Amino acid sequence: MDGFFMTIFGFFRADRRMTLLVLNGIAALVLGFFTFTPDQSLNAVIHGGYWAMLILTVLFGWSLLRLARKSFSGWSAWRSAPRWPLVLILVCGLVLLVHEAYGFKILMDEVMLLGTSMSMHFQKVALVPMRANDIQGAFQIVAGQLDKRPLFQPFLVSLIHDLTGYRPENVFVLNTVLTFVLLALAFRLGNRIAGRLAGAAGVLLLTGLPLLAQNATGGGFEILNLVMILSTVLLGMRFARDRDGDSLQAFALSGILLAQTRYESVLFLLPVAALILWVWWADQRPVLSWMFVFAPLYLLPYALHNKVFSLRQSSWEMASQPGYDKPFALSYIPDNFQHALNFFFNTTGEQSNSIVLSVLGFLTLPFFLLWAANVLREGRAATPVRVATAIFGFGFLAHTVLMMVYFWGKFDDPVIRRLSLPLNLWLALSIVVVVGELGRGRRWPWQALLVAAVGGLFAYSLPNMARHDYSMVYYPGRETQWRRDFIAAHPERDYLVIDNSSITWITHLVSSTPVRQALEHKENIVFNFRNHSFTAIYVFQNFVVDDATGREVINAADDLGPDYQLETVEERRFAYPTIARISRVVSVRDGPVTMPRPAPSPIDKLSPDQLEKVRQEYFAKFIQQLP
Amino acid sequence: MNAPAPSLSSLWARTETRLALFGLSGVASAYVGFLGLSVAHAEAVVKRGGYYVMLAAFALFLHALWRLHRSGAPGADPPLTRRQRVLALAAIAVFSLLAIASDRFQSKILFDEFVLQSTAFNMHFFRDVATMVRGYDIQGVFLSTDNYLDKRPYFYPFVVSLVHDFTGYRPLNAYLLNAALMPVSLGLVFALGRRLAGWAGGMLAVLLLGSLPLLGQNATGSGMELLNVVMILAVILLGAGYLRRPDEDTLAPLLLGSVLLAQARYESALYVGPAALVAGLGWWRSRRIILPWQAELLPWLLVPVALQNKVLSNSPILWELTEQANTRFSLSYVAGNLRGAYGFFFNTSEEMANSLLLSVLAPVAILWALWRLARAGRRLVQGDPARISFAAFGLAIIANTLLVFCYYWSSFSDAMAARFSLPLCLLLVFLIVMLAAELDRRWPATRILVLATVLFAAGVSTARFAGHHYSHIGIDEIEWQRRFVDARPGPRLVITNRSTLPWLVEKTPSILIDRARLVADRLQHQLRDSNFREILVTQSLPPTTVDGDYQVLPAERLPGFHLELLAERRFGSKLVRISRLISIDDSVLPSPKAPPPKVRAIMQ
Repeated sequence: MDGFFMTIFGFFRADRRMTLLVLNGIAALVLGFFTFTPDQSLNAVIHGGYWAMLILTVLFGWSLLRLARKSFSGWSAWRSAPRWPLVLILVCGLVLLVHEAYGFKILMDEVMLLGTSMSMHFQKVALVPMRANDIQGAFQIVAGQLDKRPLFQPFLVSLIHDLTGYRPENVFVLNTVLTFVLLALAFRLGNRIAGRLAGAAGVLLLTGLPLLAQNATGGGFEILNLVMILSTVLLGMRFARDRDGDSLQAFALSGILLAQTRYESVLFLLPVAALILWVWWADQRPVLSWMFVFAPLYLLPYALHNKVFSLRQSSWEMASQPGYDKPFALSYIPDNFQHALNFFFNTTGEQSNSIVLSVLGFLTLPFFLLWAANVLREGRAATPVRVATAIFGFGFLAHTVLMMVYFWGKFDDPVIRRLSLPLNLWLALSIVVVVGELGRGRRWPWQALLVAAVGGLFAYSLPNMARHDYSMVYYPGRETQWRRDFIAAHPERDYLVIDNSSITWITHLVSSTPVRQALEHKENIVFNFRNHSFTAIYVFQNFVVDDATGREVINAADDLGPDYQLETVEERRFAYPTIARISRVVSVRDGPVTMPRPAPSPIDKLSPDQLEKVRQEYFAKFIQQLP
Repeated sequence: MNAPAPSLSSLWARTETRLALFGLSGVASAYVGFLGLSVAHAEAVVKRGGYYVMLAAFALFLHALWRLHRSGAPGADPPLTRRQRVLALAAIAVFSLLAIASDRFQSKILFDEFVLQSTAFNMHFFRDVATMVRGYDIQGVFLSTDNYLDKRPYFYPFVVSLVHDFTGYRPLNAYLLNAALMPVSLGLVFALGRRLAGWAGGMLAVLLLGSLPLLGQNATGSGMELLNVVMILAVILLGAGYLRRPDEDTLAPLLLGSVLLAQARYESALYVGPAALVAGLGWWRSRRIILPWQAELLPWLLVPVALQNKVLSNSPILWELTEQANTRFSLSYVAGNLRGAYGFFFNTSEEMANSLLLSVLAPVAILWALWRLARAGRRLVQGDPARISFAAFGLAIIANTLLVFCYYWSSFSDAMAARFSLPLCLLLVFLIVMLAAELDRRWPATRILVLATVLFAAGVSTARFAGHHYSHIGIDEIEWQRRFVDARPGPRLVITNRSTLPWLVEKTPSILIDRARLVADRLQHQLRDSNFREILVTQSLPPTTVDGDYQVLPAERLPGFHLELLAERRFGSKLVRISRLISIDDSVLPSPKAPPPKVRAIMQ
């Protein structure tokens, strides 16, 4: 114990910047968690979030440039390098991109991210636009709300908007580019661990994962998250090897940006910190740089943004999964585990899994953990690549455990599958590491793995990607595409849409308002209707077909009540028994609002408890209404 | 024995001869330009001959540039390192992309830009410097049946007509030209900044000007501002080159460039003065009179400018005066325009295409420049050629700005007039660049400013570019009308409530509503005769009460005309309507003229 403290004190003596680092850490804790009220924190993120992302991205880019300048060995080295990895990456990237149409696959995540990028582009604030209209020819955001999702991906999309003009499809451009970057990084990581064949195996294993293809053609932040994880691991390996300030700051900034890519990716800061401490311990001196000394403060945006969860309990979306009262609990593990098994080993094609990756990955995972524990026991003798891989292995483990204790951590749920992506990446990493250990200079294990990966790709993944049942079954994604088709067919965008998914329309520069607003402020709709403020007013509604009567029952949240007279324009059935309908408002009755009255449920569908509850409510009203 | 008569070439070689010829040429051209021709003749000469004079000036300018290129750059700047070149190109590319991608290719200033496009149309098809009033497709050819000489200088329409000549006529060419001029202007900004304050100065100048939304706005418009900026920068650089190596090859492009610049915008005729001053300084510095052969033609190349100005001065209808203003220029406008300038430069809302960073830095730079000018005195004329050239043209920019302040419609806070501040913005940018270079002796001022400008551009300018609220002044409704009409099968006639120009440049016949009332009988004939598949009418309806209650503007009503509503759309607070003319009541037709005499009566 004395030795440990002596080492720590030694660090402070060796470099006085250690004191500043600790002070910055304390300042970050105090400012991030104790100084500001939740409202103040969110305001700081709304108005400072863009700038924080800009500064962090510039710093990260600059530190990568410094590393690139150091390690650039001339164009001749590039020219003499083999070309097949590049071809492999290009072909595999295309395979991932060609089977599904680009679209916003996961509601409301992807549209909310797009909304934040839109506000970042137009106003440099981190808000999802809630109200926006064409006022004087320009589409202006009138009101917005800070979203719970981290800001790095919307920031990058906003940069593309800045340079090429605003269009929702820019997010697909980003994800397309990132898909190739991801495969390149996967190749690089495999190459660092066990050579080029390992790199090729990593690329092929990822290419065989339909979930990756689904997200590569979506508008989410999952691909960026994977890119940042791999970037952090690779930069960690470099730092463990070079042990200098430049490598340290690139590694730390990559970890910090990763923490601001997805909520739970902040967990990867643990292996980042562990690897830095391991290097210091191995060197018996702290490796620092001036930029790194302020690194704790770079995490302030994350800490402040996180308060959205304490301010808005609804951010946890507990209501979407009835029966849960805590976001995290150990008791969720058995259920989540079953769902995970269903996801990883389902062979029907309804899950976007890769059987080869699942089978080989879960076979090798225990060996990987044993290997990682052994590597850490080796201490200073372990090579940088092995140490970094082992430490980040435990980061992946922590991530997986967190998913298993999450109330909505059901990997076979269409909305949640994407949360398994880091675990899938870990499985690929495990396979590469374990086969690398098995192989030790022999080619046959790699050849066998490559055959398995290619075989799995052709026999299982490609037909599943071609059918992509897993995307089709999630009909809100197709509904969003239908909205986009409607917008494309009505390019003037001079109409108003009443839709509870108003953000989808607003992010496509169409005026929109939710049903509730249209009901509670009917007078505004009447005013605009009478004055032709919009060329037309449309309504998007969902209906459920009652299988007993064949009657279409409107979704209560979409009901505009009897004051609105509607005329059907288009109707689509995306999944039985739901019908989506776009109608045009033909007239709006003036005067007091008549709230919609839901149709009564058939009595044979009410349970005794529900019947009793209704009876009690009716009785209470009956008493109130007595003359 | 008499001495042999001097040959023509030896006469030409003598400076006095060339000076005398230049003087004669100047006097004769001044007579023709200002005294010799009536207004009607002046209009006819410019309309019919202006194109060819412009063509000659442009060709001579290109030839002079070619000769300059062949004779080698006057003096050499220290070469750029690869990193410096890449960074400069990247900055120019990024800011050009930002400007071009953030807005649509559509007119920014109504109806100036359509007038220029219309002039380019006539220059391309008929070689006339004229703007269309009416035009019809007659036997497959769209003819300009009625046109006039506009007040606007026509160098920009001329260049657009050249693009039409080489690529075929399309209105988009005017926008593409400006999009191409954006990187050219930033490249010249870099070159001048580099001449004045080294590589870092060039970078700072590109960043400051690239992040100015007012400049970027013009990259997607069809106005003449960007060409004017390009010509100002080019002429300053040519002036610097000439002062560095005063000779015929360096003076000719400077003089010809200034002639073209004088025809790039109305008030740019002022830049002929500093060009002459720089030419004189070159004589003084080289201790000889330099007079290239092209100089003899210069006065004649400027004659159309004088003639056009004569027509303008005698055509009050072209002045576009408002009810409040009864003269174009007056000192009484200065106070209001100064307030407008303050309102533009220091406005913090997104409504203005300004750059607050530029506005904040500029006053310091102006004070510094005045102090430096006061201290430099006579030494100024012996100093750095680039700085002398910049100072000479800078004075003209100040004169330009003062002139603009005396103009009745020059409040920079008016989105239509903000563009007049572009030359001033140029001046301010380079003053800041030179001040930063001066401060670099003690602090890394340029580096700090470069960093600050990058952050400002990323955080503020990109949002201004993205919203471009300053660009929505009436064009949206015209673009909507054009899209709507284009989507319908032609041929059609458009009776418009705004201007016929946007339709005519698209080769769609159009008349104003006022004229429609006058020619109701002809329209009725067209309805019967089916020369047009349909006759469309555009009208606007402002709200008449707080609750809306829209009504057609009285000036846009067509009593006796029966219309069928086709489309209606809100723009800001008003509605715009497109209808189809169905029929016209006989009661509104003009009274019939006396029938022509019968042939037999004539015979008798």
